[in-house]
Amino acid sequence: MSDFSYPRTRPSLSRSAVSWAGLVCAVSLAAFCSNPVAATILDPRTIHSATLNNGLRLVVCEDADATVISVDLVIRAGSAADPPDRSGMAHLLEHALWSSAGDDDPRRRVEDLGGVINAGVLRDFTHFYLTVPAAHLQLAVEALSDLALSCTFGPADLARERAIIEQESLSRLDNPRAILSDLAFEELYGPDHPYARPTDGEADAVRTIGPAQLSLFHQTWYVPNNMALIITGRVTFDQAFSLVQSNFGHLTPVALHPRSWPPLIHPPRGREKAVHTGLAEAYVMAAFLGPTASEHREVCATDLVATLLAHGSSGRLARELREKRQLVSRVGVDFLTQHDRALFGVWAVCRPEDVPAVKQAILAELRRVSGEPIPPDEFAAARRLLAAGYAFANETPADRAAALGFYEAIDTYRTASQYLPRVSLLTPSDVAAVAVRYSVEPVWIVLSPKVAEQ
Amino acid sequence: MKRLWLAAAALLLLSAPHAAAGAAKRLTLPNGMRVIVSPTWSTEVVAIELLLDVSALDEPSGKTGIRSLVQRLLLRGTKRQSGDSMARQLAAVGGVMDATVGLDYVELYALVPADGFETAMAVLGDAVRNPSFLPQETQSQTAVARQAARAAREDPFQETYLAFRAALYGDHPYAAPTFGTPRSLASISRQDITTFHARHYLPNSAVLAVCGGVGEVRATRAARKVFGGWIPQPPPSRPEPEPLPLAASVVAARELPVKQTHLILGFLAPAAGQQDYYAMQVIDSLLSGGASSRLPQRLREELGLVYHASSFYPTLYGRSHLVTYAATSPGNLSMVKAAAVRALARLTEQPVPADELGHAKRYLLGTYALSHQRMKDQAYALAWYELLGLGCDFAAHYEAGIEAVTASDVQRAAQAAFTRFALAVTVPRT
Repeated sequence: MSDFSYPRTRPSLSRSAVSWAGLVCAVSLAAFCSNPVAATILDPRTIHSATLNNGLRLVVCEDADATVISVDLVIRAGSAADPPDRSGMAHLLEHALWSSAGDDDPRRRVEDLGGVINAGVLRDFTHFYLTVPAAHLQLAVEALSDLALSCTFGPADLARERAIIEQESLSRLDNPRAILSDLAFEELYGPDHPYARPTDGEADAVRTIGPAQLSLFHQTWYVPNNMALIITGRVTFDQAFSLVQSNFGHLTPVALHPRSWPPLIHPPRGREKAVHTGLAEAYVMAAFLGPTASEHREVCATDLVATLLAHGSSGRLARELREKRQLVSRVGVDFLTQHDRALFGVWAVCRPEDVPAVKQAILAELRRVSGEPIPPDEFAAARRLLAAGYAFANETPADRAAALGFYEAIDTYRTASQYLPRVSLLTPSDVAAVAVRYSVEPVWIVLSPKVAEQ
Repeated sequence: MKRLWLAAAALLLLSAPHAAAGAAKRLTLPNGMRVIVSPTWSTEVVAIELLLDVSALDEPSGKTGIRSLVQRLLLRGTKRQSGDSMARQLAAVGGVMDATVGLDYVELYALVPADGFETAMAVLGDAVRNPSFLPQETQSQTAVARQAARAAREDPFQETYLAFRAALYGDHPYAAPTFGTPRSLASISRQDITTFHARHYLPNSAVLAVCGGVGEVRATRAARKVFGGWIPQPPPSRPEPEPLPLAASVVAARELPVKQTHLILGFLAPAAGQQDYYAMQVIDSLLSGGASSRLPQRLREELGLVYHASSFYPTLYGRSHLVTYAATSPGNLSMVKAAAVRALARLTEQPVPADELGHAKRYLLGTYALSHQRMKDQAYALAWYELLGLGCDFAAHYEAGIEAVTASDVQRAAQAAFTRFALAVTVPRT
């Protein structure tokens, strides 16, 4: 049952409703983002890859039935690549590049075909992506190379983009789920790990970033040996290869800065970060460090735990906390695979006076997964739901480009087509083993109204 | 090249909903239920979409949100099985099901891998036909719904949009939150719920659409088996009040503990398929269809006042609304409002330049096709157009309708609609 109602309009709903629908969807999809596809969808036989001489990776997923082409350009530098005192650099650069294009705006070219184009910054990577009618592969590849490779914005462009980012950050502060997530990253990873910082950047730091620093960041990371192009839809590998060669083949590789991230250790058990809000509802999250992207079996097993706990209204959390005890209005799990250890967070929205009971109930459900055998039919159903959910999340060429690009950025694109076989091999003992990680005392994040404290 | 693409767009529009298959097939069961099937063989995903003509206008006075409560309870058990048992059956085949409420309909849908299609149909049919409304479930779902209704009012977009609808529609039921209010939900008894379901949930008010990896024969067979025995009855009469035109522009203000000010400014606009429906769709695209459209250009690219500026125009059975929406720092409110008003006024004052009109139409039709790639979206569109009376083949007409819109149509539609506005603003609580 949806908590919100919104009039469905023409396709551009996602655009119209962006301020909240986008966030709601982004988070609810998170559990599935980490798992792509039905065997017929990201079939390894349809996927081909190559590495250009300059190190740029190309991954093509052919689909002769498609009527569109999707292209995703991935740069393996997200907010985690921001210099420690310049949080928001990757994000500001992504914004600024849109204004570098001049009169021949790639956005306008794409939208004039009825296509869509956008970009995003995550912790591990930045990506620029589009979908156009199938006849326009050349335009698509050129649009992305024009967008990402030309770094020629002026001070006025930068001032405007800073102002826009300020509004973007403000809107995040009006979203309690986003606040919960940002605080969880800060508490779980801080103070020295780059994942601790918000992907959008910190407002004070963003104000201090100048054009020269952005150019340097661009020269450092937007280099062929740090990029991948994913092309899906009605396209052949040969077509794609020759176009990518002619648009990106001239770039010169650059020695990459080695990543020097501090090793992650679990923060003190049971630590709680409490923040007061003006809202009437309380928001609670139990946060844990999950597996890294390369721990494939643990990632799949964690996805299965998330499915058991939070799949739709049949998940254990909704059944126990919402339907049976009416302790919460909403409850769910955030788990998005990352290059380094991911955040595994169980969250709930409840009445402020119920926070202690909700915390207890969440812990009890987490401990039940590791401590009690999972009934065989429930285990089988969760595995089935996980696989089906992967198919539902990868129906379109754009979905599949996003999945392949996501994994290529944090690990390897192959993870996308190996996901389902891995899920089918999962055993209850894999799940119990990983669930132990989520049965210790978590880091708690609690947003609650001031009055509850009096 | 552009001309070529227009022809290609026409093909795309027709083929997108029915890729690798013929057009959608529509039939009516003896009990009046309409069934639409559109197979796509290249996928194993199947979407089952059931829309019922149960509108906000059907909710008894003072019982706003009764539809959302009934919908919640459909998933919580039937005369044959518990809600948990329904969920287990669906999960065993990898299926998901949900129930939602729109202003004009209630919706039940399922997504399932093709080999679980019959199971999902059976669970969905049982849910809509035989809900048990057990006292304990009714009580607990009312509690959950009341909490959700409270929580929803803390979302600044939702709150602003509700304030806007209240200002624009007055006493008309489109003004009310579909999820009800804590008070209205508390006034709804189990008897109200069972009576409402018995009177309004009828096969002759229902449209079922099935899209994806099952064929026509298989889908139709399942539909007859699951829904064939559902007994029709005359639907209750429905008052269909027209929202009164505003006597003067109105402003509504709300407060929330937020950082940004949220603004929705808009007008009454044509119902689906009515005169100026297509022109208003094009106006919506001119205002916020893509980054180079008027609102993002002005408010974001030129003034740097917002992260998003958008417009929307819901497809509704009754009088709809066209609105502009933005969120900004409190100090920017008057500038944002002035820019939105100016963008709307410009549409009434000057004809749209031909290249801009062409761009807006191409963007509209292209994104229309893109947004109907998923089986769920295809099934929803087929069922919704059928329920609206536009016909399940409306997608083809839609394209022709958009193509035919001229600059003078746009100007005339803007002049007719953009008279007295409703403005809702949610400001940070100090």
